[in-house]
Formats: sequence, C-alpha cells, structure tokens
Amino acid sequence: MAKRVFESFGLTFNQQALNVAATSSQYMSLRSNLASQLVDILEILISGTASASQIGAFAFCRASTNAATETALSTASASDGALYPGATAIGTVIISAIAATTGPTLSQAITDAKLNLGLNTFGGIIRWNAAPTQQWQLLGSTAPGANSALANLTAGGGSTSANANAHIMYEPY
Amino acid sequence: MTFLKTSHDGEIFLDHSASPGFTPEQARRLGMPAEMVGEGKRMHAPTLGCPHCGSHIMLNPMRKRPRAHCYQCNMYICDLCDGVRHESGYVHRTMNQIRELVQSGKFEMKGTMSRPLLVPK
Repeated sequence: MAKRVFESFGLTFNQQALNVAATSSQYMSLRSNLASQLVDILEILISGTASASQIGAFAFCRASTNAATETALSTASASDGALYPGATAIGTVIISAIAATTGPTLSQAITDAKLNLGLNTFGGIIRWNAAPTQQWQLLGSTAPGANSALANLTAGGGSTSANANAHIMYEPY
Repeated sequence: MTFLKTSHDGEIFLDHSASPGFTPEQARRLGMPAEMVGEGKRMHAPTLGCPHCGSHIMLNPMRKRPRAHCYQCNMYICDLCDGVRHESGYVHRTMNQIRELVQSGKFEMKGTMSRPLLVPK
C-alpha cells in the first residue's frame, strides 16, 4: 500500500511514565486496527523547538494496553496523509492520534521493544531510518503488537517537558 | 541475497550542531556516546536489528571492542545475545524460526528474548 506520514507540530511532550495511560496531546500514537493488519514504521524524525536547553528522553514504545476512543486529528496541530497524492486509501485505516479518551499504556515489559530517540530539543534534531527488513512493525489488533507511541519518558531521566515537531513515516498493508 | 553485513544497517542521525546537546552524564544516561552528542556535535550511526532477539540497537561508532558476529546467520548480533550463546546448552534459533514455531501452535515461548525456551504445548 501507499506510504504515509503522520506529523505533529508544536506539541509539548511532558514526561510520561511507563505502565500508565499516556496523557493527551503529549504523545503520537499509531494503532493497527485489524487482526490481519501489518504496518511498517520506516522513519521517525523529531526536531526540537524549545527556547532553552531541554533534554527530551524520547522513545518509540510498544503499548501494553491499546489506546481507546482516539480523537480525530486536528489539522492545526497534526495530520496524516499519503506521500503519493493518487494513493488509494486502505480498507481499514490505521488510527493515528495525539489524544484519546484513554491514551496508550507505554509498556514497561523488558521484552517489549523501545527505540531510543533522545535529543536536546533546544535546536536538536534526531532522525531514525530503518533498513529494508529491519522496520519496526505493528501487527494485528491486540497489545502489545498493535499499538506503539512516541513519547518523552520519565524513565529516560530527561526534562519534565520537551517542545518538538515530529513525523512518523509508515506503510500499512 | 546479502552482499554486505552493512546491508542490514538502519540509520540514526542526531544533530546538535545548533544546540547545547547533552552533557556527558546525560549522554551516558541515554545510552549514547558522550563524545558525539555534545554541543555543536553531529552523530551519524548505523542501527541494527538483532536476528537472535529481535531488538533494535544503535551501533556505537566509538566502540573499540570487536562486534559480535554469528556465522550461522552471517549477521552481527547484540552483546546480550553474544553472551548468552556462549552458555552451555545454548540452541541457535533466529527470531524468524522462533516466530514460525510459536505460530505453528505447537510451542509456547518462555525465558528471555535472548535465550528463549520453546516448550511443547
């Protein structure tokens, strides 16, 4: 299927604790929504927008409990669209969100992967690209495989909040 | 077909060229090489998906020790899996093989990701 970009502008990523539902407007969540669905996460970029030194202990984490009742994206602060303008939308869309009635619970299991994306958000930029066959993948509709989120983790020992713009490039099947 | 071991590399790029960056203490806490993530520094490093445990790790460009290589997979592996494979009774299995065994419904996985125990159901 077609590659897509999920981006957010001007979020303040306050620190999120593991094993607790993340707070709205402080994370970027992608959730696969069908038992047979597969999503490849291909690139993550975070560019800091803070006006003073802030350590953003960002990580892309699996969720031990999926987000529930996600809020539709607002065009002012976040969007999700195909890279190719003529792309056909997939039958069951991936749920991208920065807010939900219940946010994703960031997994603290040692067997659940976390991708370390720490940076100083006062002018810092970090970008991760996956090589072919080395993508981060979302699978099915149940935790922990279905839902992953980008957040500033308390466990990372950074600043209490980090201002940044970010995008996640992904391809659903 | 794999031509180079680096064919499996991902990429991480951290640009602090216009930023105060991390202090050495902050860098160590985040698991990054302190020499490359300070003020005015730019870090470009490969990343690796370990074929044994499925984790994704950053390859530290400042590393001087040799990197562990599995001759059966012909791929680099992470340090945790390198330690485990020297223990007695170790059975070599890749993540793909483990996934197939678990998906067959005949086995369930216990133990750790680096040394899984596949128990018949």
